[in-house]
Amino acid sequence: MEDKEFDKHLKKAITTEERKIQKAFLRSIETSLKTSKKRFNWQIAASIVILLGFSGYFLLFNQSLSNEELYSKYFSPYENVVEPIVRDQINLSKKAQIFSLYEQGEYEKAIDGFNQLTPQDSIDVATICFYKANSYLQLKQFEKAKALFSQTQNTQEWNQESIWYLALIAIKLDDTDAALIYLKKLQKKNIKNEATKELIKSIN
Amino acid sequence: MSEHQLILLLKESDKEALKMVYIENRIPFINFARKFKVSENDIVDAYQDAIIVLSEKAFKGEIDNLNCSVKTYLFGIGKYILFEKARKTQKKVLDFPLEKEDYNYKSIAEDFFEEAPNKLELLLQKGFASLGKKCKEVLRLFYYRGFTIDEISDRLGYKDKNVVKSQKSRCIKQLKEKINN
Repeated sequence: MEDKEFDKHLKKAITTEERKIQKAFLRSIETSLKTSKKRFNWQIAASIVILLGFSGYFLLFNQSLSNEELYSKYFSPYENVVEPIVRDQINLSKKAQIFSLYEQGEYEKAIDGFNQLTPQDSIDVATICFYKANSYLQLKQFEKAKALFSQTQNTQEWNQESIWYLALIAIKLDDTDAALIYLKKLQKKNIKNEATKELIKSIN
Repeated sequence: MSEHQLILLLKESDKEALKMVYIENRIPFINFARKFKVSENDIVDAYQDAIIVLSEKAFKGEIDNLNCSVKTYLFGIGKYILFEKARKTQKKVLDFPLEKEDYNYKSIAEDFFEEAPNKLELLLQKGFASLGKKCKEVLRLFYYRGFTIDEISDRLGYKDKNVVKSQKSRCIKQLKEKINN
């Protein structure tokens, strides 16, 4: 093949590769924008839980809840805010396919998928661990979830959320001392969080 | 920052400038494109491609003397990318009236969509991705950024342009070996 012809193909191949890198960079900006939006939603969600859930139950029936009940009352799986799934989309990316399994409640398959994801799929390691931990939580494998949330609580992206889930796991496992430590940590970071305050009150 | 300064930064492939343009125009573009009745995911996808086109046009020096704002240019390209993508996936998009435009955005958008890669190009993509950092940099500057050997020599701090020339030849040889194996 002539050099000129080879150059033409090489130029096209390199352009495709460079555009993939650019696209991954832009997707990472998009993810970070969604993450900031998500933080806001998380606080609202916690307030809604306290307004409609625990307070109502507690005030209406005026009885204390067991740890098991507290866990069930407060626990909800973290929604997929990483890869919004469009139902009619064809050719879903590997990441989108895995998040779709997560959304459908196919947690075992989702865990297998998360194990295969790498930062090359435009997702950071902390986010993979966070959703894997949520999947384990759904499968009631608390120790595995705990180990992963312990890692993600040290990340900037998932710090508060991970501590919240660690507190719920501690409640579920009847480890009130640990739950209090996590909840107080949360309280220090976000003093206005009524849900945290109420939970501390109820397990104390 | 003036528009001219912004274009100069984009020309240098400055990531922070690109991020700034992306964030600043993202919501306005989504709102603008909503009237075409497509999903937000499709809009964001087209918007990202339009940003890539903008950055490529900037480093090729094609928007040094832009006769409209960066936003207008970006939206013009984004609009046609959105239509082209919708056409390819046979999704319905609301028609839009043809207006007098500063540039031929339609043809710019069409140029962005290349034909599917042939077998050789697929091998070259894989081979290129597995090259060492130095080789990638020289080939990227030459083939993607369109630098001359002299410009690469300046950019990478080589005193002698022959060093770049032989480096480039070595890298291409390596690449050819990779795809022949």
